[in-house]
Amino acid sequence: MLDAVTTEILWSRITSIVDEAAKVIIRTSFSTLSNEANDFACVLTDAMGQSLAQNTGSIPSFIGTLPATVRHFLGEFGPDSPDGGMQDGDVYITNNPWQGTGHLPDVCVAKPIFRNGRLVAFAAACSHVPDIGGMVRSVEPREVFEEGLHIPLMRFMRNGVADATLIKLLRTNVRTPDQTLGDIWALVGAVELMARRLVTTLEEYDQPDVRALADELFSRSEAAMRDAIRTLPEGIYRYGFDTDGLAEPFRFELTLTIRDGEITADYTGSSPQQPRAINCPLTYTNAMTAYAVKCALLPNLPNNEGMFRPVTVTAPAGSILNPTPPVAVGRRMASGHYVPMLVFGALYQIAPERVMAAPGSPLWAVTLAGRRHGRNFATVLFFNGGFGARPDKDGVSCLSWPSNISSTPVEVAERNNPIFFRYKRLREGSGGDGKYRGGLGQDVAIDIESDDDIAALFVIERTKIAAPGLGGGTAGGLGFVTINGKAIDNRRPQFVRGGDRIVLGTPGGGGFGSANVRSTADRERDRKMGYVEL
Amino acid sequence: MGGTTAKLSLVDGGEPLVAYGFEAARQKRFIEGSGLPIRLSTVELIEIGAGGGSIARRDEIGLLKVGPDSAGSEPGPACYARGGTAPTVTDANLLLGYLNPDFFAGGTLQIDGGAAADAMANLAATLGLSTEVTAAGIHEVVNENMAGAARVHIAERGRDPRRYALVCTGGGGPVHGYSVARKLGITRLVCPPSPGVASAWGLLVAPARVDRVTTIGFRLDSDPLAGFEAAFRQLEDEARDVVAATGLPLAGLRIDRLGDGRCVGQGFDLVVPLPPGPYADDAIARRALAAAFEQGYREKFGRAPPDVPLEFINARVSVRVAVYGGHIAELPGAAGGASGSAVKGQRRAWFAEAGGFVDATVYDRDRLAANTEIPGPALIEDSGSTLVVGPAATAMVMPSGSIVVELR
Repeated sequence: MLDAVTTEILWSRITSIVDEAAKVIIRTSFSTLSNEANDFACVLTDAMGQSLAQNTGSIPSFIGTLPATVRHFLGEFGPDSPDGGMQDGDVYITNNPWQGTGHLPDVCVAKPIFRNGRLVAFAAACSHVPDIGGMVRSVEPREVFEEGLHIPLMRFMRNGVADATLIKLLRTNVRTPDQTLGDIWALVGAVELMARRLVTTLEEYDQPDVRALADELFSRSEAAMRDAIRTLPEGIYRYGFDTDGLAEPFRFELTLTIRDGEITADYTGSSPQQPRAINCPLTYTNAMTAYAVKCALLPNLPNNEGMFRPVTVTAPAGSILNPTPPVAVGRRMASGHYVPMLVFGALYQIAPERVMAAPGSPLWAVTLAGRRHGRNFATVLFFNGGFGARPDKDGVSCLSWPSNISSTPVEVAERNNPIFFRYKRLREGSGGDGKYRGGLGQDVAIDIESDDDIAALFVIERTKIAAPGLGGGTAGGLGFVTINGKAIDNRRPQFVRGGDRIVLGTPGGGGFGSANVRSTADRERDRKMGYVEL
Repeated sequence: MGGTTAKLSLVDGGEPLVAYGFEAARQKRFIEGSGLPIRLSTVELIEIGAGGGSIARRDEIGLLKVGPDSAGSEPGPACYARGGTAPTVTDANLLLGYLNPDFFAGGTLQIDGGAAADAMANLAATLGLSTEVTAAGIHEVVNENMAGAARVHIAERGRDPRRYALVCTGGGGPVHGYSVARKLGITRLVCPPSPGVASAWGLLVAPARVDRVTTIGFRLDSDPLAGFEAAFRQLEDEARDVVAATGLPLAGLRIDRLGDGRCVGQGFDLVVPLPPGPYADDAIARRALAAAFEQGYREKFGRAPPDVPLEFINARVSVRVAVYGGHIAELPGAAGGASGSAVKGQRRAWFAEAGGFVDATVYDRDRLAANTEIPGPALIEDSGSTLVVGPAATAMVMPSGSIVVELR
């Protein structure tokens, strides 16, 4: 048993190890996705793949899925496996959507950590590589086979030697071999750093392994979560909404059961899986549910395994939130990002002060791919919409939730791509009304400056059905995209070239509380700041 | 380390590392990314919420946390007896014997050990630990917070802490320096004279320095060098004019050129020192610029840059000249290096490596002569701070008045 001080010291030390590794990824990765948009994560787990610590700036989804991926590696390559199990110096790799993070572009890497010959922990990291082959961010694929190179659970390195066949296959099957492989090497550097640091820490504190720390951390965190759940009235709470969908809207439904210090989230009633790439594997659904529960109940506690033990997530097999292979999943966030709001909507009924209204854009991204100066390029640009309004404040404008994806700076985007930003500004009137106003989205105009055709793909939502408010708040503004002034089918790839202009407006967040009681001072400020149409 | 925050910077070969961006007004718990990014040159400092007034508490899962919330100086630590009831780092330091209740702030401030003990006992009860373990825990947790931040920062900069000495300043620096150094594997501590006002002294003696930067977007393999050279000339002229306006003699003016370079395709610029100008438009100059970038890349990443074209996004210039002052008058030496008259007494102080409280000799720093050797455990007091020297260390008073502590 470790006391309150030693546990804190060790946990603090482990968190700084993971933060150091995150710095390595930011500095050494090639793609702007990692170094500008923070689309990666690092975790340390115990020997059983139970999460101890994650890097401070990590994205909610990865910290839920990455430990699960470690457990899959353990299952596949553990002591009972045919080739004798894991060794010191091994590095494992996968991008399998069901065992990884939910889609192929996220490559996960894990390294077993040994101390005195025993496996004591894992370091794991994953990041969204810029290209993995297949149809770039397209919603068209019906099966995962169309979506790019699929790396099953595999050993990437043994004894310091990388699998040359895998590297050759990777380089052959992606559009940006240097960038993609460069990012993978950045991940390898990160897990190797975490391993070295952890071993040093265990030596310094005379710990044979992380068992004592893990036991303390998990039992305390689990108890804290159960206590927090017990402050809520037991019962069954339902919430649901429609979203844009494809040809028809999708339905998302949640039944939240609170009983005995435990929460069960059941997504029965949601649409079935689709013959397009917006299906969301259960691992991602699980991560997003855990994240929302954590935000509402224990926001200040750093994530770890123990915290999520009292939370159970289910969805029927074949649901859009628990699809069965080999359906396509490339755009799984289009569905998965709605999960936290479902949790918040259900909790609103019993703990309104702990939730907020729906955000305009879980995520809005534009992918451009083509050739420039004789070389292929592929890039993703993020634009955020407005946050939902909160119980006591307006929603923040232009901020991503539930993923904390930062937007790509204009200067970087223009340097690396044949585009020019004509304007980028807050979108007047796009915040949902209410006692507190939803956050605003943004208007962006992009001029294309390339002679060759560029494929433009839009990963966008809330262009038909807006972000709902809570407690009487109204919905946020709808998002839109036009090319040369004309509306387009944003679910299909578009082709643009020099002289074309893409104009997009991201959706606003929903309002909170009744508009009738919004204060005069707040309304006056909205008018003065240009947040509402005059 | 002061009352609310601790700051750390790296100094290589007498030159502090410089950052070319800075975050002002951090909101949430001093977390990186929660402030406003400002593009200017500054001595690179990391800052965390760890100071003498940092409040210790039990968190949601029963662990001991220290800071970043601070009691400030009003109400201040419990021992200030101004109404503060939460135990702080200063309260812990008092109970651990590092601080002299009769000589705090040179005796101008009375601090109350009883109030500190009461506050500490309350917290200890909630943690299920003794008062002594709690106070020691506060000291260790705040030191771990500082060491952790230092570790991440040092790694970010690609350095190894064991190759550095730790200079400690501020009211809290000399109290915590020994423990933080041990956590980082640092074996030398340097405590300048009047450490409590070291920042003010530094401001007075730092060279006058002006930095200028311009965005240029220069492709090393293909763009004409004349434009790059002209950019530097213009920046140098601007910067020189500003320094000249201070009225300082410009005889020793130093001009440094730097560039923000990157491999075309990478998103992260590396600021590297460049050779002095002028740059002729020839292959020799291009090769020298490439070599400068490669050198910087190797230092940072430990490997050669990939074989891709290079570009410099920004041209930077730094111009500086020494100011008057900075000469340190020597301390008189004592015959035989004895420290007799400087000894004020003994005090029980807590050291983990000694297993708890041990007797430490207390010294009046103002009475110490140059070349005095002081074995730990020792507490060297001046009106602004106390230098804690643990049992595994020996302190030496330098002729400059600084005290250098060698840790074993």
